[in-house]
Amino acid sequence: MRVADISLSQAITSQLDQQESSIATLQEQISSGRSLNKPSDDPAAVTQVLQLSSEGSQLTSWQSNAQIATSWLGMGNNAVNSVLSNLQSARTLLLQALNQGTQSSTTYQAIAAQLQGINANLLDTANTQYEGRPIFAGTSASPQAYDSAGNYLGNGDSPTVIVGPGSGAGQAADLSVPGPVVFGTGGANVFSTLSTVIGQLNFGTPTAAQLNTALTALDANISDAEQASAELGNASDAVTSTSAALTTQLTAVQNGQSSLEDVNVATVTTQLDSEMTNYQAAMWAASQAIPETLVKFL
Amino acid sequence: MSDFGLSIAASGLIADTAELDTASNNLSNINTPGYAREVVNLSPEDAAGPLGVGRGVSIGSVSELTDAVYEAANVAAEGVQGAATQANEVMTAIQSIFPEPNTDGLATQLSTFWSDLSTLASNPGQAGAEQTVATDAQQLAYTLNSSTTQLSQLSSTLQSEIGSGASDGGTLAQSNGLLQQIAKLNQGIVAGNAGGQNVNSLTDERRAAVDQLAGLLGVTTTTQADGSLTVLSGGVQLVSGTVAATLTTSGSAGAGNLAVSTAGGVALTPGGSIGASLAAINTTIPGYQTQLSDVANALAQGVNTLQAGGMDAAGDPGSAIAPGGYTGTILPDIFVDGGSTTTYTASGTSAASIAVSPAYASNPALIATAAAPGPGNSNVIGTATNDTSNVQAMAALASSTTGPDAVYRSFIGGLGTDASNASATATSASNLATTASSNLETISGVNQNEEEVDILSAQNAFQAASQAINSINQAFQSLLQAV
Repeated sequence: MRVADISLSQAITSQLDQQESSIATLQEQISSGRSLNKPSDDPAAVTQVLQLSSEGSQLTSWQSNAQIATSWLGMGNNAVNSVLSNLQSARTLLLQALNQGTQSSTTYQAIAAQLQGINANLLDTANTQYEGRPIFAGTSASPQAYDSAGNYLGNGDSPTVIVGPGSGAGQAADLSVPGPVVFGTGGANVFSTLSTVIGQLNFGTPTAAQLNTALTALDANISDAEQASAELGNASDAVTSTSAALTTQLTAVQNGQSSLEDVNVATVTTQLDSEMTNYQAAMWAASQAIPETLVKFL
Repeated sequence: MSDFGLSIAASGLIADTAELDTASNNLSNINTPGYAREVVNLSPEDAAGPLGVGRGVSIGSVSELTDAVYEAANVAAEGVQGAATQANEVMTAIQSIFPEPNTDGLATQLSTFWSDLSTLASNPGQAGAEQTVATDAQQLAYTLNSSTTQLSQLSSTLQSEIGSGASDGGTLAQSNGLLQQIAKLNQGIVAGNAGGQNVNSLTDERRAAVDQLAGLLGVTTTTQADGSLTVLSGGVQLVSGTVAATLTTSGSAGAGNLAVSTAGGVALTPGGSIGASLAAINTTIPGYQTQLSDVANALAQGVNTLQAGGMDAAGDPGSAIAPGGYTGTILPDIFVDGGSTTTYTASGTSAASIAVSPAYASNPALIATAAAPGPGNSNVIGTATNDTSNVQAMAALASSTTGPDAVYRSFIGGLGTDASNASATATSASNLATTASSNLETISGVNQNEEEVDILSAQNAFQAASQAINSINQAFQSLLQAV
């Protein structure tokens, strides 16, 4: 077949162009460390990477929410444990008042003073704050969960954060429980129980019936607080295991993402090596082919 | 009467000189676009005289070597390549506007927005967290605006590249110039053919012009009996004989209705690079702008709906739940569009004009973090709350299958596929053009060795003819001395 010289040079040029462009792509991959630098590099993989990176960002958010929940719940657990030990002390004092028969009003008043101290501790604990928010006020924006008289200022909704996928906004985790769950409801709450009995003790002559009523009420309060403690403990365990699951998922997502978009250096350098060899061969062939004509031999 | 063969030898000298000239001309034009290799067509002079000895050689003509099929294929391939190359350039430019996957692309900005909403959900009413969300929203609106603007700018650049057809240096003006040139060459060729002149250089020139025009407009040609070339593009006759059409544009890139027609008003659907640019201006780019607007609409409507149906940390209700006659603050929409500073109207051009409402931007606390009062909560309109279930729902738009992330992902997937197809098409069109051109060159191209062999043989023949003259001359001398 006849080959026109112009075809030969065009073919050589277009061949070298194509090789240079593959080499440039491989070099870009190696220097950027990424095999996906624009959507057309691999449209399906790019879509997947975007999906994974969006999932990764959500998982990171959920994980940081789970950490916040862990802090809240830890603080709530400490508070409830302190409530329980205070209530046990109060119970001991009540039993002391009940079991030793009739005593002098000074003794009753001394017990009342101690109970008063416990009441103040409990009120402080009930107003425990996390970053400025009272943890037992529910979702209420009230700056305090309880006023100084022991009246509840919050509401009955538990504050939540989202820690995973799910219907609606996702899987919610409670940050805390509303105050009444720990301290009892309305007139039956701890502060009401204690202030009633403190009043009676201060008056100097509490009847056994009064003290027994107070003891029964206090036992109910203790049982509430124990339940709340269990509830917070369970919530805390649940968040811990959710957080561990999130870490596993996040690792999987990040691995998936990097397997899609990170350059496999070994493969790409090998490819570049072979492209370079081809390129050099093509240039050598061109350098041999172009100047060789009959003229040289005349 | 015989001149002892002197005229026979002389005819050989003339023929050899023509061969040498033609070979030299071929070699000089070895890289000339459109040039077709020429050959000297020789034929023996009719025999005459008593012995029937031949009377030398005569030059029939100097003709071009070419092939109509290959030429047509080459012109078609030039058109396809012109279109594919231009389309690929456009896609490359569009892709550079959306550098995904990338840490500062729109996808990442959306993720940042959602995760900052999630942070706000853990810190209701915190000014810093509120401000961050507002800033993210502004950044999203800005990115959508600027991406659309860049697409529009690309469209205008393509339009100015085409030009108006008048002498503005545009490709359409260039096409008009080529059409004129072809018509003028037609004139020369028709006249030359009629006068029996050699018109090879005119057809070479015309071939180069047609090749160039094919890349710009995508043309088909037919050669008429008189040697003139009729040029069509998109079914419309652009050159007929010595008459060339003048192309002009109507419409605009901004309106997405740029069109090319002849001055006589016949609309044209050209191929080539101009056709590819028109497709990009009228279809591809507006299509992407609409898809980008879908992203804007999904974002704005998703967020605004939740905003309207919730209340902020201070208890201010959204527009959908504010009781009739409510006199307090009603939450503004977060995103606005359609020339309004208070409401969002979804449209196919929203990406260009989506904005954060001034009322929200100036007071980022006006975001509906809390749910509307309902059976599941203790919220009351007008009462401050730390409920964050509504802003949690906003953050959950991140994984919504109809949310902006999903819409954007499918847009990027489509864009990537289009771009990778355009690049593959450009490569194959370029290979096709190379093949078509080398097919044509197997007939029309100049091969140096061949010409050099021709030169050598012409040179040898010339020397032999000279020797014949010398011999005849000596024979004459001997005869004259003998007389």
